[in-house]
Amino acid sequence: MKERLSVMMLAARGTVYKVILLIAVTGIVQAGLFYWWMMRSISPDDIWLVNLESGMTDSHVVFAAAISFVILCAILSLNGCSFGSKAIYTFRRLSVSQKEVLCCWAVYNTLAVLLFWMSQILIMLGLCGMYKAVAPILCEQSGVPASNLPFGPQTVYIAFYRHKYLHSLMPMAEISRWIRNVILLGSLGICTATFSNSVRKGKKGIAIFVLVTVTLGMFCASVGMFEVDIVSGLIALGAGVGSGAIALGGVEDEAYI
Amino acid sequence: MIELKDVCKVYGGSYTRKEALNKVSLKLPQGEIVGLFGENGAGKTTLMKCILGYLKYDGEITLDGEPITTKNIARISFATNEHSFFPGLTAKGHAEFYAEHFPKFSEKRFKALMDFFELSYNAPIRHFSTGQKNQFEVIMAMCQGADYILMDEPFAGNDVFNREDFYKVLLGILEPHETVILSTHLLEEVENFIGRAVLLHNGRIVGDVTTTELEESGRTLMDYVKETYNYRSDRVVKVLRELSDTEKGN
Repeated sequence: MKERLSVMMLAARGTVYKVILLIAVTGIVQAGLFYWWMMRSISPDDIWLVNLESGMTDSHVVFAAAISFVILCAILSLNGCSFGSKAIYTFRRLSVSQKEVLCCWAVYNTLAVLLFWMSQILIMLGLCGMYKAVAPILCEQSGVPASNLPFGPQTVYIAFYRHKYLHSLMPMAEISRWIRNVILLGSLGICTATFSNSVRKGKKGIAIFVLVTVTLGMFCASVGMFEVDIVSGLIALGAGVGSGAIALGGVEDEAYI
Repeated sequence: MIELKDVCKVYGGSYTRKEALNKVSLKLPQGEIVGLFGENGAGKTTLMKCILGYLKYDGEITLDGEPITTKNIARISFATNEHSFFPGLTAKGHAEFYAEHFPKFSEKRFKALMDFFELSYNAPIRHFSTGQKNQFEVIMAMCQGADYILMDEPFAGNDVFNREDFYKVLLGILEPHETVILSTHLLEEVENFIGRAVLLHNGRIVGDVTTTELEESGRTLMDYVKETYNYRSDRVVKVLRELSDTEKGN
């Protein structure tokens, strides 16, 4: 067990600070974008437009999350590629098998993606809190009565139902979206791990590119979009299981060794 | 003892077939320092990679009578000029990782060698110079606690003083049970360091001699190598003479 944990720690050593820094920077950027949106949007003429859901869309916080997600996948995928060295020689001299190394790496990467997902939920909730706390002050400064702001006790709850990104982050009672998200999470962990595993063996890994494209294109979906959950879930499942099976059953390229 | 019996290794398919090792049989007892010599493509690296199980081969390779598997692979370490470290990990991180995977990892030796070569403990290895990377590669192989230390051109890119230092340190710290198998082109440099020379040519062992035998016969390692490979020194003289005759004719 100690050896397996050590392999997982090897994966963590190379990325944990980068992932934490990425999450922090993403949070700061998203907060800045949201605050800037509030600053430029609150005016006496169209205060009714300054609602939480339009803020989430117009402030481009979702775009920032998408960029951050791509960077996260790059960090996790490139970790362990060992460019400039053939670390596979060391991996192959361990008492832990190559398959176990891959599994440890996949588990760590899944946890890293989970951390990113959780952080986005918290950041989005934080932005809701920021809206509740700061928007009234900005209204007062603009000469708009704060009572005109479209914000009530149910606003955050409704936003997490109606806004595509917020709902997909935390799909409430929509079981199919939760299942799709869990599949995405696991598949991202596997595909990022198989990418570096393939590079170490002198091969290419394309599954992660497919999965990132699918996630970017299909992650955000309205409530009740069952077909999107099915399609994106199946593609993610195929990418994860397929690349995992190829990596576990693959024969090493002797020309590379 | 590592024993190779009729080991054959063929690269490529039917059109690009290359016989890298041809019925190689060799015994490598514990406590020897063996130099593995041969021209480029002679099969030195392939031989080492077959011992480590990195390549599939025909024949038999055993370690104390047992096949080499994940159970006993920790008894063999490998330093290669291709490098096998984790570039993003620090030296300290490597030591911790090795200590968890190789029960006999020698922290004392690691510290001594790191300090001797004045390498940084806390910088990722990718920031090291090529020479420092080579040094680190050899340090890790030396500290793993292996009985057999395989080194494949480990000093490519290091200056002569650096190499000289390393040979001296190596001789000073090796335990009697440790075996070093060193593949290199630097014949004259390692002559006083090795105890036995194995010569490969076109995937075959064409020479196997101890340095004691060489001393007794009054030959140097270079003499032995030239003799074994039928090196014709008159070839150079002949070519130069022909060239100068041609120039005079013009």
